Amino acid sequence: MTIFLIRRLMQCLAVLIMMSILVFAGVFAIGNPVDVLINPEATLAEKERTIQKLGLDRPLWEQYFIFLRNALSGELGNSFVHNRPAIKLIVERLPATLELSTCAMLIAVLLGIPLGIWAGLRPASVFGRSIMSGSIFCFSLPTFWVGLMMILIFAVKLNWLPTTGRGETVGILGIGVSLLTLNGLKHLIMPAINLGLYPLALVIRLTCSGVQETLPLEFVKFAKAKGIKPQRVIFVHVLKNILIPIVTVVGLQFAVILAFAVVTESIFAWPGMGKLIIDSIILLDRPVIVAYLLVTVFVFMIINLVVDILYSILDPRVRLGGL
Amino acid sequence: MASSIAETPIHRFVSDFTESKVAVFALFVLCLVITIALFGSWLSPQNPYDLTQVDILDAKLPPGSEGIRGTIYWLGTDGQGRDLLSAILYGLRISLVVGVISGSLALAIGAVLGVIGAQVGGKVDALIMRTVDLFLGFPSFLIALILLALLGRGVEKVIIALLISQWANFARIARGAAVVEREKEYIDAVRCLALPRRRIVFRHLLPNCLPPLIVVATVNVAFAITLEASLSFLGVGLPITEPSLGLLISNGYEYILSGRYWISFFPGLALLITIVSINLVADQLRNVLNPRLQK
Amino acid sequence: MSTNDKTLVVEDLKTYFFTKAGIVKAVDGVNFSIGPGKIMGLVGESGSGKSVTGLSIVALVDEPGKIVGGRIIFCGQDLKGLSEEQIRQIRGVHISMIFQDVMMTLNPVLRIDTQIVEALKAHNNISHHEAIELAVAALYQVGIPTPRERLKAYPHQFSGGMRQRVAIAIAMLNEPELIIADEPTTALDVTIQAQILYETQKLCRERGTALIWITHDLTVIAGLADYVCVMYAGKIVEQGEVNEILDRPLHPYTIGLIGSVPSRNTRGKPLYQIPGMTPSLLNLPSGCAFYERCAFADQACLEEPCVTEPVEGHFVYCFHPHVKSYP
Repeated sequence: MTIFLIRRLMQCLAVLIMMSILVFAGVFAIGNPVDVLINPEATLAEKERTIQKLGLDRPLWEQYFIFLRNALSGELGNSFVHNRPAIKLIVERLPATLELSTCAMLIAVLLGIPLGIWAGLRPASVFGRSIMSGSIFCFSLPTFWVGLMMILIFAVKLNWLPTTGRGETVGILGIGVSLLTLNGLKHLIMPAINLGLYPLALVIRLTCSGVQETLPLEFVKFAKAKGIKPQRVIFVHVLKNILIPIVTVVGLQFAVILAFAVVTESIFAWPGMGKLIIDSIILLDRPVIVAYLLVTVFVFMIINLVVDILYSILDPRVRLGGL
Repeated sequence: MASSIAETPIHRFVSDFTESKVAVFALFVLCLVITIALFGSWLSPQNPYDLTQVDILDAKLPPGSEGIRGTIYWLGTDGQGRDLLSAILYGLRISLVVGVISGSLALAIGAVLGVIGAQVGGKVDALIMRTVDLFLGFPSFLIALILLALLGRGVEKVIIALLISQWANFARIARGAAVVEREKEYIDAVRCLALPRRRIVFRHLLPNCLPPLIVVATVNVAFAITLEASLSFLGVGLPITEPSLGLLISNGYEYILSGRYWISFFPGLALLITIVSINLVADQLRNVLNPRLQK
Repeated sequence: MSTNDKTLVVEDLKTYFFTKAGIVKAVDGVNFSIGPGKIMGLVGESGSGKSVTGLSIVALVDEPGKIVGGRIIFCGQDLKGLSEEQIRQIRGVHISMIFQDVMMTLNPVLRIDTQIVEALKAHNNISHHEAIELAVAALYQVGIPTPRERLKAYPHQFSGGMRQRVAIAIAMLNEPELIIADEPTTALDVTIQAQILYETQKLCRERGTALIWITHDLTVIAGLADYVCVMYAGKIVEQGEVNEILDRPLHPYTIGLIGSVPSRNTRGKPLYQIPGMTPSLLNLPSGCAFYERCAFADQACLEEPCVTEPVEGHFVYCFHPHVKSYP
């Protein structure tokens, strides 16, 4: 198990290094880094200072190491707009995005797996068929439009929920979490559901097809022949088998909705990374874009690592080298 | 047993596909949408981007109201007084065109690269697949977003961004299918004829890898359309001169809070209908073309 | 023997599959019985309905199959009318089943001990510790070395033969009155097959467990069973004591089957084959299903044959049993 972990960590590191080279190439080698990282409105003296600090007058390969060192210490240049270190800006907003994405994913999994199992066990029933057609409908919905409609119906017309923004936060380990306050929850519900609809549909379909593919397999018959309870057959024998692809997709989807949160955050004015990045793209605030990219890549690496570890826990064939 | 001998693969495909009434209906709706999109500019009562036809005094009228000059605005007007129905017809065309072009190009490039990788093998294959893995490790949305951040706005740029964020999926599927096909006997036979590699790849290998690719391509077109709409909604996609459905929806954003829902609602509905019908068709295609599900 | 002495009596069992293409009469009026400690072979080709017969007994037939007629009397009780919960309490404890596919009989993502202990706990109120002890003893019984360590392993870490032994151990755990084995050794190589046959036979004799061994391989039956039923196209065409059937087969199909065994053929000559192919169960002809392939068929065979008993204890479903061929 440890060898497996070490190997995965090495792979992570390799990809991180490669990504850093790509970002470096994108920012520094293509186009003038002076324009990219330094505010065009800065004074000449400021420009000189920044050039010195970021080492933009050194040879390319040296610049790469300076870039790495700066990135690791959180120094990628200041945001043009906010005039503060770009990395700090991104990292400040990270918890809000993480909270939103995690809640969306929880909705998708906690609702999706039971619904998918039901649809898989009774595919011909009315409920089963409506779950399946409903899921196609769900992942066809354009997220941003649904968000707008949700605000319209629940906030404007019915006045049940607040329109935008994040609610009160409670500090846990120094990070603000709005899940634990009622006000926070009210603000969180709509964006979380909005963001979670697409992964919900995917999880339902995956679970349903997984159940349908697993039920005819011989070990299910054998389990039934042993006379064990039908609930155990489904929730232990079948579920554990289909969890593996579900975990993989959930991991991938988590990364996707972390990125896609951009849209939901814009609509609901949720103060996360997403809103920041859109503004930065429109305003050409490039240091923030670079910082966002690096932080996002880092988070994706961690997600992939966690998925791999979960994978090896769930499938003994991977762990013990059977496959 | 009368039909078993006379059935061609196409015949069988059509009869399998039409087993699902829902899919047939969806296909019908889709054809309708495509027709409307193609002939939009002739069908629409107004050219919403011709300033002489638009009257600011007609702005923000709810659906079904009558305008200054007596024209009925069936779906209402937007903040500038443009007829929403016409705007949707124009927008539909742009959204579809961008989605289909980027989807087809991604399919073409991805499939060719995947099949070449499978056929040539060795370092070329490894290089292609490592690149594919790198791209697949990141969400398409993110790739498209960052590319547009670097490239700026514009139709070609959006198509390029969508294309780059999608080719990898096709490449992987094409390579997987090609690896399986490659082992089949007819490829050996063709190689015995000493045909040039290029011909083997394009005339023989590629066409037989098509079934799984067709399913993915259909789903991907829907995805590309949604992706473009999302990007345009955020303001980083198509420019204002090429108003897609996403842009129309974002135009209506500011009016939501005052209850003027129609400006965002109807373009979104058009988008939804398009996407749902594509996905329903794709779902039935997958059921029909997937050998594992065939009883 | 009266019904009450028999472990299992199957009367006129009919299991049909209601598919989109039509009704498949997989099991069409099957009758047999088996007593305690006896071994019965159920022989037939693929598609003859032998597996479905086994599954019908424990109500494990999947949709769109349904048992549409007949009685299944197990230790005096008709299983057919029972609810799902009642049948569940019989499965694994009174009637156990073993299947063919050694790769997939055991759940690949669960440990062996989990899979054995759950079979015990479903029917007995014992602690986990006690269950483990019983599991160790069961594995030892079927000849698995170092059972205690092996319990913590996963199925893929066992060879095919070992996995099948584990399945047999699980089947015998709760000391059932009847075991139904559906081609359990078909996927194993011949030497392992011989071992497993021998061990299963020994265990059944020791404990007085009745065993129904479903197979397509006559040679297996020859060495193993007391009684044999030959199935064809959903019906039992011949049944009787194994020596009687093998020495004096009366039904043309059985004769053909025995004749097809390679060792029966003279060296150098082409192997004997029964001409023709199994009919599609969707479209069975009226009358005898073997009509098309039978060398001795005539006009009479277009009617439904009846079951006759030309020799005591030896039943044939045919108009022309080959009584005359033997002295």
